[in-house]
Amino acid sequence: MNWVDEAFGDPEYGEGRWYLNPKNHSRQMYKIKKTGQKAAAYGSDPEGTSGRMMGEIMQKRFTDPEKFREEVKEANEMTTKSPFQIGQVIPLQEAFRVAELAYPVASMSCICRIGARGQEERNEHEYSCTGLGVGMFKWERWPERYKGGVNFMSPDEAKEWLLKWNKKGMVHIIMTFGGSYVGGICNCDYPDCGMIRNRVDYGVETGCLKSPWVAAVDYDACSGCGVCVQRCQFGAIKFEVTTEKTNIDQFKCFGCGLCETACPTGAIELLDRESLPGLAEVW
Amino acid sequence: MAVPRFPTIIIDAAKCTVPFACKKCLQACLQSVFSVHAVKVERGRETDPSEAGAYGLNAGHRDKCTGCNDCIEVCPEDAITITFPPVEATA
Amino acid sequence: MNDLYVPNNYSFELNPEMMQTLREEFTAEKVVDEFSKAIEGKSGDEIDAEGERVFETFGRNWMQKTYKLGDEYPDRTYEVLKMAIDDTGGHLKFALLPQRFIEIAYLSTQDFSILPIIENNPQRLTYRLPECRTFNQIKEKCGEDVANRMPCKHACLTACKTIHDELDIDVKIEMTASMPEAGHCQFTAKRA
Repeated sequence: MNWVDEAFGDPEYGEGRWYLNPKNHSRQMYKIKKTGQKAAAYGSDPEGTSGRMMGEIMQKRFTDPEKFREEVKEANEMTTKSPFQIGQVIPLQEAFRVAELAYPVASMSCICRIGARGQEERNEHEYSCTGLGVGMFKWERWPERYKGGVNFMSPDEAKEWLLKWNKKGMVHIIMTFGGSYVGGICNCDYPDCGMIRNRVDYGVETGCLKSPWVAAVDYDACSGCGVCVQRCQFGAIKFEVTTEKTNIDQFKCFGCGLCETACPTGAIELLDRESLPGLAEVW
Repeated sequence: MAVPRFPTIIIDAAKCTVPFACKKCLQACLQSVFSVHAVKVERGRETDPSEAGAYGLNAGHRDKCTGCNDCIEVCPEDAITITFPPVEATA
Repeated sequence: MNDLYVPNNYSFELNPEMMQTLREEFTAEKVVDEFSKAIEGKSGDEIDAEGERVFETFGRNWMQKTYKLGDEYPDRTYEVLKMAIDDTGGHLKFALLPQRFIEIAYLSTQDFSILPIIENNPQRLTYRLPECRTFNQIKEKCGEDVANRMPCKHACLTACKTIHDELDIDVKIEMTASMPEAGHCQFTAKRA
């Protein structure tokens, strides 16, 4: 259990994992504005708010590097009170479970790829991000955010679509936009993904926690073909020349399972992170 | 320990007016230093990438810039200037 | 260059006129008046029987009218929901279609500004009433003892059944929390 599971998981559902708790996928469609009412805790734009706050912290690496490191540490320790987006890497099978539970599921364009590479995705053949929840019905309020619109999918279509991006080599990250309400399954890629980059390059953990699994190689089954090496976004895999096998640093591994889904000899297995005492607290 | 040498990257907004339509530096940069964002955002409306000034470019990851100058080479408007602090200033 | 999204004047909110019509027609005051007159001089099981009679009728009428007006006064959220239901081969019909009408029914007649949805997925729809005008009215006009018998639950249970009947969705409906014990009421419709 990581702190997000402890705060937002329910032991009755999905082994207590926060992203499999149906409550975190449920929300009303309408709100009646009544006079004299206070604004919601996260404002009307939690994604914007947490993005701006994180942006202010990130800016400090130029103006005050020491303060920057302090604030990143604070952000990592903020846990349940965190106003920041929560994200966790999940392997394909877990993304499939979310596709069964989340309601509705729609493909949409990736905001990170637009920002970092100017890459536009304008139709269902190009979309690479997955939006979840009833907010999708209102995408036309913000056509700049949902460039090209959204494409609603049945669970089977969603699985097929997630598999497509997994094959291409994208990491699935389950994401909130502030609070515990799950808003998306992103299909992510370093360096354009803001969450992976913030974690890998700057140590910001909240938006990109490690998955409940960790990859392990069976040396007897590994042919040393190296296919897995190019799949890893986290620099955890290298080809070990001495043994002519794949070497996975499990402390660096985020448990995304991309190496496992690509291995032609089935030599990579995902182990329960918490079954390994040395990794149980490594999130 | 060596202090990292962050460059100053100036993007001349008067020259770089349609970065999202152009996106040359965004796609050329080996370190993905740049990012583009809508400056003009209106509810119910999509921002027009061909409208001058509607999108802005910034060098948000200038701490990852190596000074290779590939972006300067691809920029059709000569809008980018990169200046590294002199070596002695960071020694 | 790609085609830009063409701006529209869509409203994603519930139609105020529709909400006003429902608010005026289905007031807690009216139904509780009727109930309090019906139980004059009665006690125990008789009160429960009157409660069931009065509130069942109220619940059915309230949801039938909500369903009728809710469909006659569409908003863009509803339109996109219906398109999404078609796009997904009906997958989104339960829980989201009944959820919309249940939200309208409560938001038009209660004081809260959102109806907390505890769970909505293909298996279950669970929603919670954090407070209730009807319950408070019963307490005021008939006393706490009568209120704690929860005669008003029949309105909510019947309303939930009515909307699923109207939409031809087979569900099992349960009351999973009630005001006197939990401080809120909660209802669950489970896909049968």
